[in-house]
Amino acid sequence: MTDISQRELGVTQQGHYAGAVSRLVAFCCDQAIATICFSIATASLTYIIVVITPDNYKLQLPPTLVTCLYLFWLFIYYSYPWSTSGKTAGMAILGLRVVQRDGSQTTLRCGVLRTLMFPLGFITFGLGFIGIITNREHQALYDRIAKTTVVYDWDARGARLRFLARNAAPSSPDYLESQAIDSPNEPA
Amino acid sequence: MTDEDVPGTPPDEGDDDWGVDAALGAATRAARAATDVASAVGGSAPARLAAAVAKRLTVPLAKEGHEVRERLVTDAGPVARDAIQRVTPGVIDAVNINEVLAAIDMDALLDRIDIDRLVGRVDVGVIVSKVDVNELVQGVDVDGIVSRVDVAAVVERVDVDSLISKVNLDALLERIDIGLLLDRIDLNLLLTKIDLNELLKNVDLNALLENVDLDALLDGVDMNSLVNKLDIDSLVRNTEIGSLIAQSTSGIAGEALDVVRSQGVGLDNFLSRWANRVLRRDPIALPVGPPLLIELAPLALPSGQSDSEKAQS
Repeated sequence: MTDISQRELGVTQQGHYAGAVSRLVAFCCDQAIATICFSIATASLTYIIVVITPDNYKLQLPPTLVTCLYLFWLFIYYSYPWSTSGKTAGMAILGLRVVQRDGSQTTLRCGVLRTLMFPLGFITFGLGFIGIITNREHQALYDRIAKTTVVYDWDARGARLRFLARNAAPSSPDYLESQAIDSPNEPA
Repeated sequence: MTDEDVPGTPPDEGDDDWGVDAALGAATRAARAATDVASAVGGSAPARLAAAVAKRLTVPLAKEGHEVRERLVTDAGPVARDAIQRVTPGVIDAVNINEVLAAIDMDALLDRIDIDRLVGRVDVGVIVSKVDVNELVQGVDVDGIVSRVDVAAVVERVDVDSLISKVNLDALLERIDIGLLLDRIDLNLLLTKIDLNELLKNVDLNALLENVDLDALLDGVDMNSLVNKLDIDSLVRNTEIGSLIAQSTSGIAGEALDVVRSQGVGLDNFLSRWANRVLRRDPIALPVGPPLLIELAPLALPSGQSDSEKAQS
């Protein structure tokens, strides 16, 4: 399948169940973002404490506390977006959204329950994620418990128009003329 | 020339009756003389006396004359017929028919004829019944007659106004099958002959549009159906809209996102196909998305094609 045909296929699937690859990439993005944000936050906090305390003071946070804080941060990071907009930052990048099984918007209960059940996928040594591939509705274990699912939600129509416009723009005389006006010194 | 050829000459075979003829002639003369005398004398007494005496004296003569007259009546027919037969050829030869006809005043003759009475005595029905009309018509050279007719002159003599004024147009129009008439009309050919530009010049579009209820018109339009029928792809490709979109959204980040998302969707589908193949599932029978989103999806999809149609294709 060529690159163009993949794009054509992709932009026509808005509202369809999202597949494993997109969700995995989105999760990785989310984890990276959440971890980076947490690291920046803890580093900043440590720096501020060091600055405002005497020189002989050493801030040593217990690892358990840091882990708890990290988990709490992850809980906030995932549960709040899933309860409101249905999409985290990583999911927004990949154009995914969490919805209820019938397609309606998620509620606070759905968001919180899904966040709490999310670790089951890891606890079951990845078996909890198998449902994303094998289930008819691409539901993981935590999705089945929270009665949610993940769909493609990116602006497929706008993306398609942008895709068509980018392909058509070089042949449009008006576009070429506008480009020439924008960059008059650029050699032909 | 013989005596037989001379008219009035007695024939030789009548020599035996000469006495009778003489007596007849004498009696005839006597009677003529008596008549003359009687007419001259009149009805006087002496005349009547003389007539009685003469009648008494001529009784033998009268008796003989009576017998002669009767014989003439019985014998004169054949004799006269024979005489006519002998004379007629000569008479006919002697008569010039042309001179006779020329001498006749035909006008006077026709004036004396009562044409109406003559025609009234003619039984036209019997005459017509004996006429074979078909044979008569076949014998008529219609083409020749028509070729001799000056149609233009005939038409010029026709008073069209008077003719049309006598036509009952309502009755005529009732007999016309408009549907059949329209079926026989080649509207395309008719429209090609119409100068629409000239026609539209005479149309006051402003007045026409003022009478149009645009709200009612738009209420009857299914805008969703109309928009779905639009070929947005072609619109974007072939108009300045494409350039405007490209200029406004051609950022590198946006393009990168589209690429990443498209790649992700492609890999997802690839993985799903393999999973369905391993699990022996029919992809068409699988739900493609949540019911609420799939029902709304056709409005957002660019192709306007339903998901079931996509799955089948």
